[in-house]
Amino acid sequence: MLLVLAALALAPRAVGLFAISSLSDVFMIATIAVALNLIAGYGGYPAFGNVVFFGIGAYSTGVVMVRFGLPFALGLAAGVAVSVATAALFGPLLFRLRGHYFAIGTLGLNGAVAQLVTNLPLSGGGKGLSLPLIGGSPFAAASFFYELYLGTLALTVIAAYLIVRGPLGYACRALRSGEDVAQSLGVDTLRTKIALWAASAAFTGLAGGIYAYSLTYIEPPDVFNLALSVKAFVIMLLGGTATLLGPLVAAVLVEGAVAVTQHFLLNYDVGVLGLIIIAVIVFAPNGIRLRK
Amino acid sequence: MSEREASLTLEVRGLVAGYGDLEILHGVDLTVGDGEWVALLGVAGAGKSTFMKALSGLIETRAGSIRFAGTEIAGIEAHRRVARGVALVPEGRRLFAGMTVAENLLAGAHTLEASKIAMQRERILSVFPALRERLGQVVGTLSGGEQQMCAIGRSLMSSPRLLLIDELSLGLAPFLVDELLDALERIRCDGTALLVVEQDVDAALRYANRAYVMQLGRIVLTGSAAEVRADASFAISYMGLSPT
Amino acid sequence: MEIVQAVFNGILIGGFYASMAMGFSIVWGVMNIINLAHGSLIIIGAYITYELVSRFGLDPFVTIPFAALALFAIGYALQRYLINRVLQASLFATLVLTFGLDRVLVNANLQIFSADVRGVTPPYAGAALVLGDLRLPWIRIAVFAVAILSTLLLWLLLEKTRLGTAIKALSFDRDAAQLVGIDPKHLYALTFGLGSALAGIAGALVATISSFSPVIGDGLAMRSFVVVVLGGLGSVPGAIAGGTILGVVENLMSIIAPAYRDAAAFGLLVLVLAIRPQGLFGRRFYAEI
Repeated sequence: MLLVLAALALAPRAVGLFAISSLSDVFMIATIAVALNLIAGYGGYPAFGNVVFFGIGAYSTGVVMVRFGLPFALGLAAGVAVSVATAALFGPLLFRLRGHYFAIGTLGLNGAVAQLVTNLPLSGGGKGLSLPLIGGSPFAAASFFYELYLGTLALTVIAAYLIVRGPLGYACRALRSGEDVAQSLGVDTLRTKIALWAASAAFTGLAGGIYAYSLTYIEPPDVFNLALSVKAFVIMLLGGTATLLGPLVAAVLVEGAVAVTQHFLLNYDVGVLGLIIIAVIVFAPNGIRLRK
Repeated sequence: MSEREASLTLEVRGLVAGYGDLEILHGVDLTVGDGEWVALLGVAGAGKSTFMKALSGLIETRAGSIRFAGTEIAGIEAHRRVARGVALVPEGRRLFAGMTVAENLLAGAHTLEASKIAMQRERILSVFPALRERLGQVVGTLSGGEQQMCAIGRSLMSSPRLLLIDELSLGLAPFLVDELLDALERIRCDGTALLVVEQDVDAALRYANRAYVMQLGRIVLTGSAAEVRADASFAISYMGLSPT
Repeated sequence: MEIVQAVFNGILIGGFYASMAMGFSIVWGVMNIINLAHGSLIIIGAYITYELVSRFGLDPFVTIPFAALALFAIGYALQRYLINRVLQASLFATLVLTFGLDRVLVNANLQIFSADVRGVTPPYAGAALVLGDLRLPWIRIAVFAVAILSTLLLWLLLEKTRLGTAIKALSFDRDAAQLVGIDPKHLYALTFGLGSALAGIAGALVATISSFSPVIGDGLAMRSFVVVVLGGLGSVPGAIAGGTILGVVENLMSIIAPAYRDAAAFGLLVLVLAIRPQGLFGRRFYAEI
């Protein structure tokens, strides 16, 4: 895994702009997928609206940089902080729900936050928010974001790994055996769920913040976009999330398929994404186990 | 030979079945004759429920054959076996929770012609009179004994030739079990063959013509009810008595 | 007076929301599938009505049975040959599948019918029942009547027929249902077909009272689940109550704070989930999760 990581980190020296920005997209969606797995896979709570944290991360970073003139690093920190706070705030409310109701609840949360952002002058309203440009050559900028996305992905995978091995992981397994079982083992189920969701939110928000700065212009439908949650889930299914390579390969496949279809079938891209999703779910509804 | 075959309601040969990677039944042979009451005994985990599920079609037959009234049914889907005349009262009863007794019975009549439903229901209510007052009651509120009656009644609505019952007396008081056994004997006399899985040896063998003992997925003993009851090895393995 | 008008408008549209939501509700209640493509199915119904009216000059209300039948067939096929394969998979998987399906249908609709906004305006569209200051267009009253009628017909089917009993049984216990001879594949497909037929009817009604395009399906799907969650899964009175509440709240918001009209639906959703997730009339009518 370290070899792959090193190779990827050094890639900007060898490849062109197109490859770098494509891979950046891949890293980003893979990060969202690994983060989603924390709550949906380990936790067993299908957070269909998890993309809300991506949007929160993007907008927090944007608002901090644009309205308060603070540097990017602080913007990212704000993105993570607000995401985590949101998870902690709504966790107690939403975790009372199970299954479909939880999924809809998260969808509702995503929709509500998106509506809020659209209507607040602070966040630029429906017109979107423009962030300051990073400066430097396009290639240098792209490389910077590339490394940032790669680092975030690596961080997320490592965190996921540690979580599974640590006490939180034990708590998750207990939780999956059943609420009562977990409680009788002394596991504080609500705290476990919130911790998981907060971790998921943090990494998703981080990705969102990077996205905002790299794109320099964000709008609500863009960042509170359900298609991201859906793609992330498909990647979760295809690649598993135990390794670095799994989600990476899956993300490449999915993004690649989307890019190819966009190129050749411009008007049908939305539909084709749908078909890809259908194909994956029909043929591998419970995921594919990759061998490590 | 062919005359004997024709009088066999159920003929199972070499049945192999299981779940996932696990094989539970390793070649089971069993027969039920026309209008017979056959008991299937065995300790927990012997494979009795698995066997019943395979007979009813809820799980797949991996090898062997199941002949019902002379026709092979091992490959037939569960819901189609009902129309042919095999009905299972599953372990745990599995009544339709939010529905009333009357609705459960009506559901049981799914494969019956509309014109015959009322009459069939009458027959069942005459065998289980306790249900008559409870027709409008939601099944979740019934007592254990009433639920078992309702479950058996539901399966009988399809007018089966062979009634399979998995765990008849589980959780029921002895006098209720007696009532159930008497009712089942009446049903048998009316022409329905019975294959009953039952943990309580006494209840199992009371009205049974023949019995089988299953252990670890195989039949280890068979004979008439009296023979099985008297067999020493049965006494030892099943009832834990020490050899005299 | 504006408020009274808003309330009545809300009640009339509420009937429509209720019938739209019932289609969504039976699929969810019986098969535990949240059909995110429900909105697109409604839109297909709307286009069927549009085409029949503009090509053959039929009255929109006459097209309702066609829309219903066509969508029944589409729904039956979708379930039997596609969604059925995924029924036993995880919840997220079925959500994502119907999401994917929705994307495909939206795209298909855009390709076939273009993004143009369309509507159907029958010659009597302007006539209204006038009671003092209150103005109730006849067409909306008719839509309300059709919606309530279709909801009641569904209720009758479920409660008073053998088919309805079989569907309910299947929703409670799939294995036990098989043991009484019920064919799950066929009945699930039938249920999905019924839900789609209701979507088709809703589509025909939408075409009649509002303008539509391929992209408004999402909003309709979202309103469907707000109504179901509000009223309680599997409950017909719940759907009617939920639909009415949503309709009235939305119309009141139009007067009070028009910018937040759409947020009203979300707000209601979150409120209900927070206070009483099983909804107003939620009970174990159908099996839950």
